[in-house]
Amino acid sequence: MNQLNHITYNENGEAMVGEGVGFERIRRITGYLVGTLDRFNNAKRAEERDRVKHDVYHSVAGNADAHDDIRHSA
Amino acid sequence: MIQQIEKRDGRCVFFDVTKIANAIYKAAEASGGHDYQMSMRLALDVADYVDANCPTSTPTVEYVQDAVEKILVESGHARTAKAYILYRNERSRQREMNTRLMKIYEDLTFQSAIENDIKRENANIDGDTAMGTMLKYGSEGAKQFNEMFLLEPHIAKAHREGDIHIHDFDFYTLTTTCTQIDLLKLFDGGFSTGHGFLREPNDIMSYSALACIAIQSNQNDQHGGQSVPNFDYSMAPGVRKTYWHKYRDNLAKALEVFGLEEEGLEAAKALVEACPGKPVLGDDNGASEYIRSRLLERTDEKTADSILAFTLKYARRETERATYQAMEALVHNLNTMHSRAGAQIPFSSLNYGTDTSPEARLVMKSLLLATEAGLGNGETSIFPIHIFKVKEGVNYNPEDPNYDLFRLAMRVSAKRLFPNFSFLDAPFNAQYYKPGRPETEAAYMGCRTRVIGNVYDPTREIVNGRGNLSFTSINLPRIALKAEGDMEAFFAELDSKIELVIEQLKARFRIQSQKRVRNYPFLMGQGVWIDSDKLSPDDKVGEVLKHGSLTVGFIGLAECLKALVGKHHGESEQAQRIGLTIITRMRERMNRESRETGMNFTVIATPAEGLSGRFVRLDRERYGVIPGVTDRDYYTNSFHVPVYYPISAFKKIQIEAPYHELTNGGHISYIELDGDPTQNLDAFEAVVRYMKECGIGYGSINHPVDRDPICGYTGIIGDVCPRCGRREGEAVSIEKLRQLGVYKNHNSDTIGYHGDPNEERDRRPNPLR
Ligand SMILES: [Zn+2]
Repeated sequence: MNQLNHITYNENGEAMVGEGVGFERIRRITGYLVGTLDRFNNAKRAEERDRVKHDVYHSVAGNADAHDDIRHSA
Repeated sequence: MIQQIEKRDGRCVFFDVTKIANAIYKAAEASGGHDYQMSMRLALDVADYVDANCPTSTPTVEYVQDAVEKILVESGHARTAKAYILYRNERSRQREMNTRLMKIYEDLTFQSAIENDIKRENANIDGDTAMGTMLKYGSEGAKQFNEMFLLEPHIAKAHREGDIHIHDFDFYTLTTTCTQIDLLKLFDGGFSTGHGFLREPNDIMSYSALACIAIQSNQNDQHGGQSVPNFDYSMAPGVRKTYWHKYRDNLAKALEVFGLEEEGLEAAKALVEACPGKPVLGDDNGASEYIRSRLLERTDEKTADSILAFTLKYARRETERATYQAMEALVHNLNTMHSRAGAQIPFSSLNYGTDTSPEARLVMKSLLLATEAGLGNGETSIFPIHIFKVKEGVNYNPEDPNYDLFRLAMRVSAKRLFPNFSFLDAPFNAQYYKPGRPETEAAYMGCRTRVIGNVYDPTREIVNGRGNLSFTSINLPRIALKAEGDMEAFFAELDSKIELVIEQLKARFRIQSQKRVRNYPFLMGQGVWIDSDKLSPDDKVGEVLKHGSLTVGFIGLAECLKALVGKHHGESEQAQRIGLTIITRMRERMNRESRETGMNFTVIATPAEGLSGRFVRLDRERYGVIPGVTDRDYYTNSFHVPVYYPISAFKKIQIEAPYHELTNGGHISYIELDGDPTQNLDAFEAVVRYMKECGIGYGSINHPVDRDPICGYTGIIGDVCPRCGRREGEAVSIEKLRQLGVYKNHNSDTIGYHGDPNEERDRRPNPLR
């Protein structure tokens, strides 16, 4: 039953693992962590990949003043 | 003449006219009548009518009941007819509920968790196991029973129709939500779990093991989470004891190695016990000097120094190792141990960050490093929830003694999503803080619950031994939709819903109060709950429960504002002002209730697992699809700015911070960071610091944590694993894994939780500004 150890062979006769094993995507859902392995369908995974990304780190670097303001201010 | 009558289940029974007479008499009684003879005459009229008119020889119950109504109305007994119809409707509703319950049981029995929403309703019960399913039978049955027999009809209706939601409704009559466990008090002198007595722990390994057992045992007595409010302070004595043992044992070894003793242990024991002070990690307390003087009676200076150097070096090294192993074991246990008939992992939360002793610092460092390393195969641990307490002068600034741990906490959180961060300097938390008294440091339970203020006993505004008793949430968007833009109508309806919830919380409290100490063998029997140690097994718990909180929550402030003024509080300052007015109104009403009753009525920003989807579904049925209000599959969590709305991290924090002050029963704000924050810890720290500066009470940063279970890579994985190069579902050659040095025996025992995937799907990262 341990799929992670299930060995298959490719056309060259090489021993392979990982057939059918998805990636685990841990997310926080209402405060608790959720291991999404086997839970979300492909459409949802695809949608998640499509999320709009923002250039987070650049915006910090580009705003060194504001950044410094809040660092180490007691 | 009718002989038989067909019941609803198809069985035929003898027709008995007195049964009809009894039913009519009951209805007449309800409207003030007392004439049984009249009831019998009417029943005979019904029988005659059925005899003459029924198309079949065996009438159904429904047919006979219709006939009763007809005869009552036609013979001028209007009020009795009305009472009879009401009675009939109520019976029919109960029958429907029974049918519904049986349908639920059928689905639970024959569907898997993937197919069945109810089995996945509670995120951390495995609905596919025998015990998990048995728990669901119990839970669903209890809900129906509580609704039918315990709730006042108007409250049952509000709950059923989604005006309000009574949380943990299956446990309505059974117990309370959660507790902040004072481990040191529990450990003092040992404790009993009901399966045996556990001696006071004597080293860090047993401190951590007993911490897990305490959490597990208490979880069996409550339906919410279990929290340790000051884990650092609680574990430090364990490290101290371990160090003494290691010091003694290594001294014994050194005495043997350097040829002073054949068997060193007794001599070492005698030496250590004679020391003026016990040596601890951070302070030798004069032990070395004393032992050195004693050794010099028997050997030269060089040997004496060597013995001491050996002792100190290995005592420290072994203590560090033992502490790390203890914390590693704790994380492992909290992710695998079960409670509630083996079907549920306890909801555990550990608060720490402020104890600056070397022992506590070692505990925190070890716990954080063990969490960073991950479980057996490097998986991210799901439990415990870590809450790092941020405090100026303790860990917030570089010159503070625990600043290094604050930095480490952020590094770990950037990789593993925990710790979250709580802020003791937020004015509403700072007001309780007393230096040197860790029980006055605000703590958080699970995903947000907070209990520290104490109207019932203002001399004990502490976290230890206290928790939430129950909470009920209000569907804010529903109230706004009903009001149709009329502010006055909105606030009137809001007020009436708050009143309803207060009435319901009090009714539930009356049930909770009737329980006795023996109903909670651990929580009350072992004195975990504050003052329960003063009670005997048959005492009622009502009085000590008053240290707990009774709490009103709310869902969907954003959608509520959309419905009221067309914009949510992230979009418009006017909406923000109204939002604050709404939550202030809730808080003020709860404050007033506290003053009037001397009990702790509070407001919580409801976490909403499962619930937000239910509310919106019901509202969509009623009001249709309204853009920005009912057009998604969930309502936004409490006061949060909607997850789909693009907004900078700083702006989001500014908008949400004032609600933290208002929600004294608990709150949390989330920021979604894009990319891999371990690559930019400065950005991570900037967000945490900004939370603190804005008066956030409790905050957390979300970011994707992906893992390839085949090669063990943890980080962000797009289509292709950056380490082994395979795609989802694809195989990779063992040879390649060997070359990468990552091939080993894997095991696939991971655990997972269901939440609301729809809400998660719509989240967008917040840029920092
Ligand atoms: Zn990989």
